[in-house]
Amino acid sequence: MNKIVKFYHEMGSPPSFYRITGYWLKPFFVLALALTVYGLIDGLFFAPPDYQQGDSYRIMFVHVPAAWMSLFIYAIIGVCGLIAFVWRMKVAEAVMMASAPIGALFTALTLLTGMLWGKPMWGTYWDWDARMTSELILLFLYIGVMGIYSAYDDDPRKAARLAALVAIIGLINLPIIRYSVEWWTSIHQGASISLMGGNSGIKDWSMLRPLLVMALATKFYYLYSMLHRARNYLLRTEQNKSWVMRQLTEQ
Amino acid sequence: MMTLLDMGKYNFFVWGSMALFGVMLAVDFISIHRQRKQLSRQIKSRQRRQQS
Repeated sequence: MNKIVKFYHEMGSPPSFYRITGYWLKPFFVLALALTVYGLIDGLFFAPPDYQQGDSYRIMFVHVPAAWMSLFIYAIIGVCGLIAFVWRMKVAEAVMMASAPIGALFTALTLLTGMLWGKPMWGTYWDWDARMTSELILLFLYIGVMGIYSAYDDDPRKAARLAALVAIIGLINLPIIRYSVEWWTSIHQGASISLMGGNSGIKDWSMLRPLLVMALATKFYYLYSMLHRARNYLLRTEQNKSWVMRQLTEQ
Repeated sequence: MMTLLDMGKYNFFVWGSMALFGVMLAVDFISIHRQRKQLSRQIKSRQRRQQS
């Protein structure tokens, strides 16, 4: 059997997923911590001030990676929701439900740091602008996914399927957030990075570097936190299985 | 040191954002470990009750 296919099947089994991901936790955490320290020092003390926004633009080094994570994690939740809904794969349910609180955290962080950036730049903490409103809706979607799951907590499989349905429907919000600044008149600035090489976005490497490092750091932290939570989810939902007791006595 | 930390008139906004980032991730980190401890204690005591 192809190695990738074999790995995919192995990761689909809760005991194997639990065992394999146990080896990844420490490296992911160390990478997240090291990259965060490097990215923040580089962004706060070595990147030059912006010619228009002065030092206030440094909020970008936490705001933009958090915003990217809020969208990225919801996309993961949507894909896992689809897998959980169609194939009823338990590990997909675990990843989906483990991702929801981290996604909500990054969305809240995006909104709060955005408010702190908005006040000195726009003169207000909040405006019912398309980008801000759609990001707030994303936070409600995360809360909705977690709320639906908790409402049916006594039957985790049913709860996960219903949460998956909410997650799949909510996917429609992702392109709205992404293109809101282009579709509607907005006080929010455009994309920080242009993948197509357009004129918008940051061009200076000394500003771009800490931003990309922080984006990587938040990805690694997400992987660390999500795997921890997914492992906890599997322990809780499979606590009557023999592998759970074996794992707990081995530690 | 003070000049290094000085963000002009944006001190509150820049350092406030950094503090929020640190605090929120620290809360997440602590909560997953607390959840884990609670869960394993709960499962072990349940297993002990079933065995006795």
